[in-house]
Amino acid sequence: MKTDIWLAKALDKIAPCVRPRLEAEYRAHIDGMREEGLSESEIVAQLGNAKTVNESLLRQYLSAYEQKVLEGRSWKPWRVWLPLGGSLAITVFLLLLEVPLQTIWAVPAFGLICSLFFGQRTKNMGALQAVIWLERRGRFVGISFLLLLQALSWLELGHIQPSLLMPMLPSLMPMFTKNPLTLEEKAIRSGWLPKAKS
Amino acid sequence: MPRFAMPRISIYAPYMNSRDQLRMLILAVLERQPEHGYAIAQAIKTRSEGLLTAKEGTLYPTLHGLEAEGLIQSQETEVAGRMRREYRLTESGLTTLNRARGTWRKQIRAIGAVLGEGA
Repeated sequence: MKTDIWLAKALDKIAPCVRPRLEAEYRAHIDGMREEGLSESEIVAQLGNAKTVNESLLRQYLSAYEQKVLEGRSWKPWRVWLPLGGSLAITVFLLLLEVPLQTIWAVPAFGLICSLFFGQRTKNMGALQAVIWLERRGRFVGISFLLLLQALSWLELGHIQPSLLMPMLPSLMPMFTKNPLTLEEKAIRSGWLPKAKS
Repeated sequence: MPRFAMPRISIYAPYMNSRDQLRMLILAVLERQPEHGYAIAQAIKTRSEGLLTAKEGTLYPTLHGLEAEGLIQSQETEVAGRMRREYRLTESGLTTLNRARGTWRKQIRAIGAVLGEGA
């Protein structure tokens, strides 16, 4: 049947966690069109290009591969809080030893980066929401921060080595991609991760 | 593979693209009463006297996007012995719809001014 082929193409590579809901909705829609007396070819024509629909769905939902990646992660909440808390504790300790802040600024920054990196590997929804927020809005802050540090370095103010910050650059790349959703947002939208309670 | 493009800034843009228009039409249909996907597509077609016929396969990604943004809610209900997912407008959806109507009127007025109509 043409509609079955359309469905198979439209739902190709969609993660198993979201596929049943989508399939049920499309089948109900197709049934409605059949009851209206439309032929299989007319139904497929009205549904549109299956490849375009598939691309649109894969932008919003997890692919089967992405679901496997998420399942392969080790989900431990301490991975978020330990680098953040640890780096802050070390910073406070160094400040108590009267080490100047401009020397030790990299310690909390490194803790934050580690926390963000490992934050993508937690099912603690509070932490995950914070990661998503920073990923989406923090890119602009991140770029401004890098530019500021670069400017300070050129002006020879402070003990700053911008090259240390270069590893941060790949995290800014999603800003230039067409896909507006992070993997974690797709996981929430697909129902793989629970929605945060509002 | 990610395709490179500048980030979307539609929140600040004073115009609506076709995607925004479909979102507005869905919200407008749901303003009257809760509906399931097929009925939403039919309502858009009927009310526009067949002029607006969006490809119906793209309806569900849009509906799910609106749901993820909290503009609509869904729940499964039994319609004529079959399970259907029914969508309803939320308070935040109503606010967004009213804002979208304002943007749309401005856009129509601007285009009309350029075309020299309805001045």
